[in-house]
Amino acid sequence: MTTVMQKGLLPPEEPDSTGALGRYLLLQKAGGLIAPLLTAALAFLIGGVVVFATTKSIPDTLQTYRAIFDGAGLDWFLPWNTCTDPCTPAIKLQQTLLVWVPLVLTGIAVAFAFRCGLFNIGGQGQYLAGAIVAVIVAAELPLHVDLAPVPLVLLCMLAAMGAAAGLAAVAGFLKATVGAHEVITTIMLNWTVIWVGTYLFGFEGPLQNDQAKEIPASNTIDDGSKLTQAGVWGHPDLQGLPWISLGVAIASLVVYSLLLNRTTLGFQVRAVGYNPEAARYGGISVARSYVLAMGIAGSFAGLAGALDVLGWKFRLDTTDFAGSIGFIGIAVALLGRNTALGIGLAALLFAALQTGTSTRNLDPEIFPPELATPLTIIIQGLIVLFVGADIVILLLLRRLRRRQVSAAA
Amino acid sequence: MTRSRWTLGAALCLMAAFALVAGSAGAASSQKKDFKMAIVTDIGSLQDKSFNELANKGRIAAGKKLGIPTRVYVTTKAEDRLPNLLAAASAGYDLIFGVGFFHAEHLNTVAPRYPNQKFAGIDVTKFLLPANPKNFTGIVFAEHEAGYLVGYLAGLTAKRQGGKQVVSSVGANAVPAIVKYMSGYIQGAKRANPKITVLSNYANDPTFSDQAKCKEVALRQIARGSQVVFQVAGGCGLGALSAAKEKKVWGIGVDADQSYLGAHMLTSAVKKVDLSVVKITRRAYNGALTGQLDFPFTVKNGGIGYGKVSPRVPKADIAKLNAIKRQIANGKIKIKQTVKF
Repeated sequence: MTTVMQKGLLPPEEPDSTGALGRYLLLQKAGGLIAPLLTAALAFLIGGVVVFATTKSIPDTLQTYRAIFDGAGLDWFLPWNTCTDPCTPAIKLQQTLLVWVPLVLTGIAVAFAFRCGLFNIGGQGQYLAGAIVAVIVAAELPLHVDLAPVPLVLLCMLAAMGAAAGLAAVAGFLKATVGAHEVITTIMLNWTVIWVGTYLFGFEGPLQNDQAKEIPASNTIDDGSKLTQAGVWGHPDLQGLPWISLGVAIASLVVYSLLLNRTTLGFQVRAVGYNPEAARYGGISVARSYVLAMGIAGSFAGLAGALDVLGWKFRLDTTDFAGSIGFIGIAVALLGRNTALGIGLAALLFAALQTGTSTRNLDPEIFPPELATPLTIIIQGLIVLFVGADIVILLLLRRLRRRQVSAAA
Repeated sequence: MTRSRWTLGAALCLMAAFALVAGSAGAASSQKKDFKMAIVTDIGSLQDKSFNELANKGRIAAGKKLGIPTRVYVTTKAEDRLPNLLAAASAGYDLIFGVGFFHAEHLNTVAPRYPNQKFAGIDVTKFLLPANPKNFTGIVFAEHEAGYLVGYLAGLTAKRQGGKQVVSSVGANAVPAIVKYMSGYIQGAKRANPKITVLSNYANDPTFSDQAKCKEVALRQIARGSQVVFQVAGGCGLGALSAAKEKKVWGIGVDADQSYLGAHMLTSAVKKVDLSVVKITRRAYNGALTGQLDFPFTVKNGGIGYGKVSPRVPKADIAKLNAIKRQIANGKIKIKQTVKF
């Protein structure tokens, strides 16, 4: 099968790839690295107008951006920046990376489905499903069975990935069999997970913690299942980033890239993504690809949930269900152009933005803390807006190029 | 060792004595030159018109009154609480407030690691911290007293208006604070009119923000004749108040003064979070915050009360309400924290 259907059978350069998605992917290929960089730059520029409106001077605006950069701990990378113990930039960077890990994984969850022509809005639900299952296994199982830390952690992760994969596969299955649109079904599944979790850990829920009935939260996970046992990076007094989480996130990027570009499954997924009709004609089961692609996508998001629970959350409370990490994952995948390297970098941008503009890291002397959170949301929103509009940027670039060509002729 | 302890003890006594003298004069004395305070809010925003906004108001007021630097750490998602507390602690703030009972777990982790700094939890009793850290003070409110006050006014109002003599309250869930509010409400209404019927129902909304759920419960209560609806459900409860407005019955707000919601507002059961921040900060500033205990805020010390009363309520009723308030303050009225309903 692999040998028969090598690249070229479905040339991605084919200009008449049908559907908006196909054209979009084509254009993205053409735009290369320029468009995402332009997108991010434009968003920061317009965000700068907002900062300017509050600080009322250009040097202060630049200083605010510098403060966001420092607040995210990115100055740790600057070679001339030496810091003494406790190293503040390292502490801040570790917080950025703590957000980076789930963003990478939920970004992959969106990107993988996207390459199969599916728009996975359910990253949030899949992430939460993983987190819920991980917390249940890690908190309840050790009460009944005696397990060593390594099998316990592996079991938690596998269970979380399995649950999230199953959840996402439901959307893929519905798309494959009755044609229910995955955007609708994944959004609905998000709410299913949120309410199941709220019921389980909420007031008088069956899995609410045993210590304090006043608090709607789960039990704390068993000490043996905490990833921090294996060492953390960063200041020991501050919440550290477990090495395992960082390693798993980087490995996931590699796995994603290999799975998509070097396996039969990946080829089928991409083929269906470019043109399902052509793929079907070529002998690929489109239905199977939809279910598998969603399942695999979901398992990445579920892994993110497990890593967060085992790495530093250690329990879930009902307010955890109001997060948005899965939704930011969509922006990560879009800005990262669904490539492994792109996702890694885009996740770093969004993670740095979140940490850098948080009231704890952004210097209150430079930017008022009351406005710090809205600033995060504004810049994030602008990037998402321009990512959606980067097709416009691409068209502009192309027109410019054409004009130059005709002028030369 | 013993000697230095003695000196320290003597110094503390002196400080306390001085604080008492200075406190009565209303001027802040400078015991610790570089004292600074921080608060960590909970999910929501600094402009949430209730809990977080009140805590932040308290921070600003405390900073102005004592002339000390303060800082707010805003929690925008559940993931922020622990890093916020840790950041505040490692930045060396002498007193750090965790606003909201979700901070209990993290205060339990952070407080023992920074034994030279003080921590306080609003709505967090020390019983929620298994480690029982020496530097933690719980701040708890006597919600049942506020419930009693507004319940009494609700009872009076129903009596004055005539009709079926039914009032009601809508709670989000059976959380301790809500149960206390609703229990007090029943007792207060019965005090005004022993024959009154008090309906008490939960909306079962763990998110505290689903207005539709509370509205539905309130509409059912109004259909059963409720003349006054007391919301005890945060954001969810705004739905109950809008039901009251629609059906032209009275509504009562909770926590913050919610009289701005319209002419249908009878009053609000007020929990002065801002005042608690100022008081505890002053105590810590004067070196008088001992830790390992819960600091209660009640009608007696002004931490609990009622908000703006509708201008349509006759002066005589307000006078009666104030008499009840005085009796609660001097202990003449005993209110049970919980009653069966």
